[in-house]
Amino acid sequence: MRHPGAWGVVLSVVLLTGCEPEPDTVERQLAASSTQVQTNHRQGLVLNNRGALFLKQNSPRRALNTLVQAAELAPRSPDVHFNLGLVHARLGDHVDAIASFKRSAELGFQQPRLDVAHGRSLRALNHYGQAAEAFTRALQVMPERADLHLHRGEVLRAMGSLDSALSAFGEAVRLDSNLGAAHRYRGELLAASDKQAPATAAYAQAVRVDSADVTALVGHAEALRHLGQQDEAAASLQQALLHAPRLARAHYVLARVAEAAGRPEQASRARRIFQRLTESQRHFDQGLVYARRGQFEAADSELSRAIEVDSSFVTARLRLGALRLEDDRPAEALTVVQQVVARWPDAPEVHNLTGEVYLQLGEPAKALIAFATNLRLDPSSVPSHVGMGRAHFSEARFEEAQTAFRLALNLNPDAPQSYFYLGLIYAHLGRAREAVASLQQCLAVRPRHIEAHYHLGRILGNNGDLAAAREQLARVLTLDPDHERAADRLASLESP
Amino acid sequence: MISSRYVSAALALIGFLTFCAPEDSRPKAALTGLEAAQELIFFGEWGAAADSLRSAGRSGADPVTVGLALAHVQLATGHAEPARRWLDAAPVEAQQRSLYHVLRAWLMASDGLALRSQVAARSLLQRHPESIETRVLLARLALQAATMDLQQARVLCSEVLDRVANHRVAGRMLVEAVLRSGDFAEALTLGQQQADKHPDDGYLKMLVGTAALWLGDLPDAIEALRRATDLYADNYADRLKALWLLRQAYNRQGGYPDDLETQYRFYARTDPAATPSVPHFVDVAASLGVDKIDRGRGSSWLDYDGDGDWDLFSVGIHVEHGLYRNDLEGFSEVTQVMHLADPLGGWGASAADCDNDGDPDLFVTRDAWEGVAPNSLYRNDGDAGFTDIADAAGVAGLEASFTATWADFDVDGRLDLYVTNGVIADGGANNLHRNTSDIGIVSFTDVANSAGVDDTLKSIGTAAGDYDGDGWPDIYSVNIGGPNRLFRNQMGASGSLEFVDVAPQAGVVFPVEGGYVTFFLDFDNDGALDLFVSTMSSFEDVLHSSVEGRAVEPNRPFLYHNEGDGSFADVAVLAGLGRSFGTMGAGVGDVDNDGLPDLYLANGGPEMSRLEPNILFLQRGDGTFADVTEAAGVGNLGKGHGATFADYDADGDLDLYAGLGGHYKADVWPNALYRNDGPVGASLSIRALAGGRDILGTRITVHTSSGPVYGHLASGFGFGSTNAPPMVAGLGRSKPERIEVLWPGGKKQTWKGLPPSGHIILHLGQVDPEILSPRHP
Repeated sequence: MRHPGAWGVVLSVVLLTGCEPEPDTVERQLAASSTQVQTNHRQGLVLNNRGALFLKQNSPRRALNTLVQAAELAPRSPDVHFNLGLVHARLGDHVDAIASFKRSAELGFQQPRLDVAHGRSLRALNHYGQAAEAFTRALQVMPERADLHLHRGEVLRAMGSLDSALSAFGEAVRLDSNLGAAHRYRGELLAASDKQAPATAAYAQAVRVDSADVTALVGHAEALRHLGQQDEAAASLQQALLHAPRLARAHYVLARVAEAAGRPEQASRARRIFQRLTESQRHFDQGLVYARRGQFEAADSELSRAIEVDSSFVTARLRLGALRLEDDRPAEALTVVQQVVARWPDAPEVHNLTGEVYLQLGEPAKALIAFATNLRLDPSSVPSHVGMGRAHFSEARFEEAQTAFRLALNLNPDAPQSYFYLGLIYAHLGRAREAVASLQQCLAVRPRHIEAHYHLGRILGNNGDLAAAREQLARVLTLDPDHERAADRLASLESP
Repeated sequence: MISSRYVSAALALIGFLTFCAPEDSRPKAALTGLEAAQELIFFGEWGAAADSLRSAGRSGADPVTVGLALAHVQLATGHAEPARRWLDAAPVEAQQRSLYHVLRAWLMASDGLALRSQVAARSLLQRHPESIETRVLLARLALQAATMDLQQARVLCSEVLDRVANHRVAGRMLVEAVLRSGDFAEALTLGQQQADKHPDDGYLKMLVGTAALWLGDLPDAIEALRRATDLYADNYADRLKALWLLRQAYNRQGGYPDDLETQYRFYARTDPAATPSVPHFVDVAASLGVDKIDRGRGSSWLDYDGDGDWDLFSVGIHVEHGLYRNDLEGFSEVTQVMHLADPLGGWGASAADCDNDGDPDLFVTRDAWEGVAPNSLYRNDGDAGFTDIADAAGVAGLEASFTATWADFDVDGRLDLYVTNGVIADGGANNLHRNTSDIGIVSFTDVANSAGVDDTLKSIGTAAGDYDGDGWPDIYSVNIGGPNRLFRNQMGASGSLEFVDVAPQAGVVFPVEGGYVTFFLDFDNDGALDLFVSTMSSFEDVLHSSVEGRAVEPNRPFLYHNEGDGSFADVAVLAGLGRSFGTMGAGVGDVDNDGLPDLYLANGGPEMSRLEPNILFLQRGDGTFADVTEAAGVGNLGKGHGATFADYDADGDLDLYAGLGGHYKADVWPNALYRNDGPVGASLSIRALAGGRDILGTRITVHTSSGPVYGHLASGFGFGSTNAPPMVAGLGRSKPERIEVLWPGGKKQTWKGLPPSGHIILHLGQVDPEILSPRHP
């Protein structure tokens, strides 16, 4: 019967002409149904707690999967939807977070935590007005929360309600004088209203809280400059530049301070640095634009020019190396990273990038050295552990690879590549059940991991679970219709 | 407890209704395979269509059919490369199908070959008159700039809808075509019909809202735009557009109602800084008869009749020019009488005395985005009117010219002309018309090639100025999709008219992507010419930056500070200009007479729904600019182009003329003349004449009790336009002590004994300034 509507007719006829069930059967059915619902609800709450735990353990992907199941089992639990919202927010899916928070509110979740979390997600999506309302509601219950006053001030500032924002920041610092951001915002708004003296005081407080707050330091300097205190302004700027030597704005303000203080040479020097930094930044930004579009040659040219203008622009160098790696030019990428390593051996991520380059060049031993070097600088670097794991794996050193991947998972339980490679390792070692479990965990975190689906299908097929294998391989082809290995394997499973 | 009999009845009803439901609205899951995919393609549900096609492929459907349909989906979703790869590798059998050829034609269009695509598609339609996809492609082309034919688009879309009533893409395009044609009532009706068929389509709701807004039907606009906002809940960019339009609708009602929910409000980040006293402007164009409707392009202020006040020349697209004689009490239109009623219209409009006879002539460029057309050089023949001598003089050209700038590049006392060409990506080289006029004969020779300035990129904006102070004017040229050029004049060193591009070394290559217009200015009064370059950003970026208070780099204007050593520093962000705008025209002038130049950005974009205000940035005293648009009253929503300044009423402050109008014929706005009603500081209006003439390139320095104020005379900048020649030097509260004038060629003179304010003329060789009586003449 091809026409779907026809089934409706048939069903209707059957239902209307069928025998009416006896009352006690109905009650038994209803009772059974109610029990099932209660059981589901309880299970859902258990999963809810588990999901919340995953979230605390910094495993938001696993938390998400668990809480989605919890919501299916306990759809009317406000707590489940609230936690689901938190997870979505943690993953940056603020649209989904807001939907979950709304559902939670509809179901009666009345804690101010909901308003706070909801407000944060609204702010992330630039729903300023609604965010302000949410924070205001939360503050009605928790007026002593300085951080909420800060958040409220931020959205009011974004909405252009500057007096209200200033008031909110003022309240924030009154409650907690160590809220550096609030001091800084106060300074900014006061300076903008030409109240330089109180602005200076506010900025000074921000710097007291965090001596490395370069934005506050530069703002402080500008306010001091307006007050004619050039030496103090210069000192503030020098401090900013200690923490952020490439902060263009600081050099620009320093130039103006030096001019006002009658130091033309210093002014000229600062201006030249400012020019160099901004010009290289423009080329860098343009390079990123080209890279996003896949215009590798143009991107390479712009990034190279950025480096030519400012040879100390390490980020541009690293981006150039990554671009060349992406463009399948590992030898050229190696040249770039080696230059960085030689001059800036402590630059963040340079050794990881070096390791990636060596992996692509088929030199796992050198890759290992690079990743190990990065781990000495940053023992909690997940990419370094994963990189080491991949290097060991490529040399069939499965024990060492397992150790590396497990270390990565300890640091980030949501790392899909770690699960993926562990799955391959277990498969190599003939431990099919563990292989399947690992690959499934990989897919729980990254459902569109094509190779994970493929290998899972392969392993399931090898172990006789043909239906599940077909499902996985079909999924591969949905994601990548040109995946020949999957197509061949599926065909072989389907042939008699 | 609900009786099971009632539950059964409900289910029966559902089944019955499902069976009887109209075919088009049956649940899509009910259809399978290729049939389902085709339905989904008609509905414009590309993702679901692709899934369905892949499923059909796996289930054994004809691979050629599946491949063609997938390529279709890829093209429709902007993924031309995968589609191209499939088509290149497609089996011979695929080439027997009409859809293959339609997709090939579509690829041509996506490669920028719209005309070829159109020819191919028309040929296909003749061979396959029933082809829906060919009609859809032709309709798309009929909505594109290069092949625009709104009537044809309407016909084609209607034909598609006659065959497939729920074809979403055709429905959208039909409403768009009608909207662009200016049939707003019809667009509203059609839009509502289409939106009813596709109730989840936010784009259709936006079109309905836009049509209603243009029609002035605010209740319908508000309702539609609110719905669009709801539908775009998870589409940030489009939601912002809907919110913005909704704000415009509410603004016309007097503002947001107090009880309007926050999710329907557009919050723009305002400039937190205290703004200085802001002059207020009033649009007097209508009352003075200069509210021309011509899709406003370039404008020029000139004293064509030599009576000492500033007359106005305005051009538009394929509309007669407008020449308005200033009588100080008002304007009189004299276009016909002066033989300037040229129906070809134009783009850039600059004024300069190219034949050194003491009266300004006019140069008009054509035809920019509209294609190749000859330019016009209207020689001012006094009472006899103007005569187009472009052909005879050798400056007509046959390129897609956009803007032009005048300067005496070889400092021989005759003005030369640099013209930007090639904005339609046809490789048209820019011209450098060297003035070789002799007595009575106006002639030019194009020396761009030998001079090294024959740029073949998509050149759009240009300005001339002696940025390095060596006495030889240089050229800045803006390219779209390529680096900008700073052509440094080498004539002083080499003795021949040659230029070298020093933009990379000078650090003024950017913006690369969306650069538009440019001019030189000395914004900080340090005696060196700085450089402003505008960027034409997408509306999404404009709205996003309005909310965030900062641009997504590099989509913002560039303000390059001249460092005095041949290089420039980009200070736009630091100066408070770090937001995105769709700036197609821009002007510079000191509107509050504080001695510091201010900027007017004329903004917009082709879409009918893009209602973006022009912006006035007032310079504060600390090198930053404040957006004072609202306070000044100059935030016109018309698509701005030629913005120029002049003190037309001789009251000592600069007034602003803005050519307004969009790309489509329906996008019409009357040009605006904003009279400056102050408050402003004192000023001294200075005209420096040599031999009784305004000499382009003249540099004026007014030394005041609180520092110098600089000005330079230029023609052909911004949207190829020209301000009135006098320098209105803002004095604020300071007193002028002396004025130095440096003419091209090195002649210099200083004047003292200056009045504290008013209008003066400085004649080279005369000791005393000529002080003009109030409200001269």
